[in-house]
Amino acid sequence: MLALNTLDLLTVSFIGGLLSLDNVAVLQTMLSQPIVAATLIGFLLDNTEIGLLIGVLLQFLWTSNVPAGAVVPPDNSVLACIGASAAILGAQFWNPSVAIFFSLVMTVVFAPITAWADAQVRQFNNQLALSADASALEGNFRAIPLKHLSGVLIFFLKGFILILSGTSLILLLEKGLLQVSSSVPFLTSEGFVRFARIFDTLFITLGIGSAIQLLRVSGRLEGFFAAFFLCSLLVEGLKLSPEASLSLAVLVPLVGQGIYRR
Amino acid sequence: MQLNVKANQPERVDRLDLFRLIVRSFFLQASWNFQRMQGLGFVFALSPILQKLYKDSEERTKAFVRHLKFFNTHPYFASFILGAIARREERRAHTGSPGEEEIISFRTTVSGPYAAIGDVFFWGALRPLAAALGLAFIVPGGRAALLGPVVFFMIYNLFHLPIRIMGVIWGYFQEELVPQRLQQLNLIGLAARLRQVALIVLGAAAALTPHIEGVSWENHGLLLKLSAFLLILLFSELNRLRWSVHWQLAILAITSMILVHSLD
Repeated sequence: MLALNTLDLLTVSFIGGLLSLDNVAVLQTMLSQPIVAATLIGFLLDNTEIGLLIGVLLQFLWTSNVPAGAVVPPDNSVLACIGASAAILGAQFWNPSVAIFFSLVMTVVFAPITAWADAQVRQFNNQLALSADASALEGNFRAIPLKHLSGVLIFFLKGFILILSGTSLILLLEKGLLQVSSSVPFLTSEGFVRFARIFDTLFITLGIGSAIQLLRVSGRLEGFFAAFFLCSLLVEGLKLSPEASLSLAVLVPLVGQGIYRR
Repeated sequence: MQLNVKANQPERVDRLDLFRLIVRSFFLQASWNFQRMQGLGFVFALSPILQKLYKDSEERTKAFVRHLKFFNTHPYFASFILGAIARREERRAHTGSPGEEEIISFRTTVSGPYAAIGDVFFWGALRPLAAALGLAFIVPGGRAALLGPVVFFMIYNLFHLPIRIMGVIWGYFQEELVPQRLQQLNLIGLAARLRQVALIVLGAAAALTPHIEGVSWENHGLLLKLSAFLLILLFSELNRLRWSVHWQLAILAITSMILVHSLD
């Protein structure tokens, strides 16, 4: 009953580990950002819809944690991979909204662990820097690139282990809860599903709240308010299509505030 | 100290070396650590050039050791410094000038301001804007939603890749003019505008979040929309007050429970 699809888990952890390298170690093309990474994991597990949803919901959550200097923010690429894979694999045996709910909650719970693991890797990498010093003094210059690149393997292993263990833990927890649901009928009730759906829908407010805190220029939010109310009015009041409402709600404040002017 | 430049005439840095420098700059942070931060990555990127320029093993060792020291800046803006250092090392290998201290001092002096510009522009403005534009494609739902991650990736890298590639080239060929060039670009001013645009796009997209595929607002759109708006304001303030995301999650769970009961 508690068996997990090991091949899926290993594949997702491997690909997730590779994607997470983009976060710090190599490239930084933002392939590792939740909106991309979770969608790719969704594509890999044949459920792009849930992958995309998890990616969007997690994208803005840690926006204000900028990796400046020695600050080590939560690893949002690893968390996106955990969230997407746990939600998709969990949706195979539980209601999708409930699976998404558990994934979102657990990724937030795991966030400090990913930051801690990242800090441990960076601490470990101190040894690479020190041994590169020794190689330079010995005149063994060819060893230096190898020492540097071995950091890629360490960062990959960190991502792989975190995704594998995090996803497995969430799925085992869900399977365990399903097993005891006969004595706790609330877990499979319609009310719980409705709660999970509302929670999932409103989850994005956490991320948007975090993003606007980072983005507000001199504390001003007029542009945000104007676009929000205009878009709501167009889509709910005038019944315009979401695409048309969104375009107008962006264009009108842009022109009104004259942002395009030099 | 004057170098023995006649004994082993050093070579010049050519286009292939600069291409290698660009490629290697993408691996700058592979061994990021607390002690030296990007120090080892800096040497990794410069290593083919240093080996080419310094044939004398003593001078080569000195060059490697001076660049293995602490170094940290924004990973994209490191390209400007890498290009400029390659040029300075080339000059030093040929003429003995600039001195070792001057090279280290240049590296240290520019890394701080470049880090600040990079953090403000890329982490603080461009990344949230690209994500907001991606979200704008996703929230109306339908097939176009899959364009969201593509739009995010393309818009971000439209700025990222040229900065990284041109950084090395500008750094090498226009080393003294780079700060002036960057000033002309006015990235800090541009970042403030991008943040305003991102706020507007986020506002419009937030009003449409019920259209996210797979999640419906059922028949209580107005109540939920109002709740979403108030929650966004609340979470923004809680972020300002540095409340942990775990507490915010608890508030969200309680609000969802209240809404389930009020919608029944």
